[in-house]
Amino acid sequence: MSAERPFRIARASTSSRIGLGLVGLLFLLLAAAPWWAGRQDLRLLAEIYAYIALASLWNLLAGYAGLVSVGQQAFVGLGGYALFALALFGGVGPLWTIPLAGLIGALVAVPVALLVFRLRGAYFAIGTWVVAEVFRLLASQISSLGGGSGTSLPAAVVTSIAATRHAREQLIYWVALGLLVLVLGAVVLLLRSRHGLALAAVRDDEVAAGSCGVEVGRAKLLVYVLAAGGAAMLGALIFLQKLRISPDAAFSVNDWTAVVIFIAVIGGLGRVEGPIIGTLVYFLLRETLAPYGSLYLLVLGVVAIAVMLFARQGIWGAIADRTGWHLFPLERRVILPARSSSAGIGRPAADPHRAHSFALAGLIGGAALVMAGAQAAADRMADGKGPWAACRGPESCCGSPAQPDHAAMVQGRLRPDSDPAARGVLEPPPPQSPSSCGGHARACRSPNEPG
Amino acid sequence: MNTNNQRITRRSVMAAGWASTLAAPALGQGANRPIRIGHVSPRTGPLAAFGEADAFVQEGILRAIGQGIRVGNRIHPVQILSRDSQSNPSRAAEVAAELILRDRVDLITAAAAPDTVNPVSDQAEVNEVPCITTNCPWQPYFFGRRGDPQRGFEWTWHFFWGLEDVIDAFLALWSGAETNKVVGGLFPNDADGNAWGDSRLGLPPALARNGYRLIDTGRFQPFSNDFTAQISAFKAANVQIVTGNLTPPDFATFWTQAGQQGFRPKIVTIGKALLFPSAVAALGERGHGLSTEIWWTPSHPFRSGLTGQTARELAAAYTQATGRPWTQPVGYQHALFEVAIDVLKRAERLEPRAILDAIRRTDYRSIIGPVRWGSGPVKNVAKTLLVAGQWKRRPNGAFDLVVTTNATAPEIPVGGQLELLD
Repeated sequence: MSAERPFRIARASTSSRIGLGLVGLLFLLLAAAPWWAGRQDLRLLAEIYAYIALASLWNLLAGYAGLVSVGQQAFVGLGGYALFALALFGGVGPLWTIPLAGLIGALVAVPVALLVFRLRGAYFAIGTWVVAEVFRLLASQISSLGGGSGTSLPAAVVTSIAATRHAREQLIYWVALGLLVLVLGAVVLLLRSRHGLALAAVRDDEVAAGSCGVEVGRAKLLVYVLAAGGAAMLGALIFLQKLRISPDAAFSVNDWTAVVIFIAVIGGLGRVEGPIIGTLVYFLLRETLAPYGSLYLLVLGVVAIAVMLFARQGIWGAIADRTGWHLFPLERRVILPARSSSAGIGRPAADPHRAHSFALAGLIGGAALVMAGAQAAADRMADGKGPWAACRGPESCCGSPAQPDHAAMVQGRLRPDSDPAARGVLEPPPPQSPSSCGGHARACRSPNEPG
Repeated sequence: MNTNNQRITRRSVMAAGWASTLAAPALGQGANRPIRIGHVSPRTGPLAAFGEADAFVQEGILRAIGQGIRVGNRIHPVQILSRDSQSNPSRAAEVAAELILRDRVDLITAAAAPDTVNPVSDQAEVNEVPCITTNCPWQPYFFGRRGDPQRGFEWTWHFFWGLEDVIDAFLALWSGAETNKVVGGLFPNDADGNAWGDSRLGLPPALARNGYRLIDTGRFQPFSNDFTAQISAFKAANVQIVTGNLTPPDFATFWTQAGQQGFRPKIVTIGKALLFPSAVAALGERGHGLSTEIWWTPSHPFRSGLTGQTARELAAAYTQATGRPWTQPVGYQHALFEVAIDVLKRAERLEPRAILDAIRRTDYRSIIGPVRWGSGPVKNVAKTLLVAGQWKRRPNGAFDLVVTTNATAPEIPVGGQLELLD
């Protein structure tokens, strides 16, 4: 073989061999967590795994396939509702509902993809959001699952997982860890396969990839369906721990998409390691800033916007560019026997067009978090008179036709860019808008409700 | 007891530090471990008005406790670990789990609407921690959590009134007035709206039994901005009484549009939207004469079993401390902690089963009236008193809530007569 080809393709590097070894060790350590961690730590770890997995799936969508979806909460919520429906009416054991939820999510994703794939860039982002809102409204019509009020998982269903509380908590923890390994493993294997090569090509330049014979549409569909199935499984797991579901909580754009975008963007899009680093940063910020209330969301938003403006490759991107480190053997390097020089083709190209869509993603996430923070701050300011006192009659806020202020925020500031690729570019929000109008109107509405 | 093996984390240190600022007088005991009471309520978000009095109430309770409370033969200092639900049920579940798992509270409490009470109770039930809640009608609490009336819950207990009380109170309110008995119903698609508009347990069957005709245009999405369909239907049927359960912004929208479209009912009795003076004051002159259910006022003839304060004294102290008018949740937030302290005082040991036994045996007179489990409609619910009344605008623009009917609870004094709108 090498006689015919005077070069070979290397995937592993020293750093990725060390990295994989470390990942393996870490996995063993985490799998043993029930013996060294407290109950709250297990719960926190399970939550961290869920966010790493969600962010990895979103990274696959946005970072590799260029699908900047703001509607992944549609599938998280779908998975959560699948858990409740299957466990309450089908009598399925709660843990078994998780793979079934994944299947349902993947199946539902196909018709949704046919619909939203007709849209591009910013329009795609808004389109996916609209789909998620439609899901939310549909869920609030299912009266057997509580309609708009939501419903609880009876204690009897939860105790059917395992007899003792201890065994139950361990089992749920291992399922969470297993799901994370499944998602990360699937992402790594996908990227190492020929589909991965196609995706890397699509990531670097969609048009060029298409001209080289890559079936761009099919590659994107594959990723979209996988991400939806994964999100639905995670949704079932998340709501199994929350024990209660309601449309607003299940299809919350802040919890399941804005935070996930934040994580993927600050970690580094288009790299498998990015979401892991991003999740650790997010939880570090959350655990230290949580006592400061609304300030916390503002800080998150500002961090996301700053990263998008000054370090578009994210934290891991900055590290990997300087050091060449990789935790996973995903890079493909051409090794020529004559000279030992190599050319990497696994690393995201600094394509200015694609960078726009990353910026779009980061800024949507950042702006959404800033909005949420500003809203919380506005609530606090209105505290003196109660939050509803901020409404001086319907004209001032609640009854105004500009209901979907989140959507209006994105729509208002999104414009088709003049560049030939006509990708949407999001401008940073004008400084007073969240507090002057958006925050004001938000004070009257549930925090989960984007409009 | 448990403190030895408790892992010290940054959060637990901060939480303890924060709690100790509240529990300052209780510190310095040292010897016996502190009793931790977890508390979840909405301090921010759309339900924030319900949590407005939290800090004030907790300070008063901790002051009244002083050094601590006696459990068995030891005096234990008391810490209240209060967390914000952000009016978000997911967040409420998360902070409740944190209080249970990380802070290891002995008893968890929660208040304000199904969105806070239900997720907290669910976590407590599964994690086997005693839980006391209030401030949410019992049907959305019990049936919203898929409770089985035969079996009830094990760990979670609730005191408040129910829909049957609201129905009785509203009917009593309307009975004295001269109307055509045609009622327009406004029920949104949310926890409260679905319960109030329920065709079996809600307002519709009760109104039919009492000779009222209900015009119900169906469940609508909360935070609607157009009530034209409802208003036209009400006008077409010559509705003279409007009732339902709305959030303040929804009611403000409805009421303004009703005015613009020339719909003038004689009585408007709405749950939830008209609880807070601020929400009514925001309606200006059109707030005058609106009516609502009343669970607590300063004129309720009750006294706290813990501080000895009367309802009027508590309301006055609240206004003096915060500069705000009294609200109905002030009394219930106070009663929630009163009941929690009473339960802990009667517990034989500081462990979940013993605390649970004490909850079951509760027979307490609080600032909102008697609280006693066992005689309620289901095992885990204790019912409290409910009357109805009307907002009356003073010439200076401030509003007073006046009890106009006490048929449902004769011990509560009536403060005035129901006046018809227009």
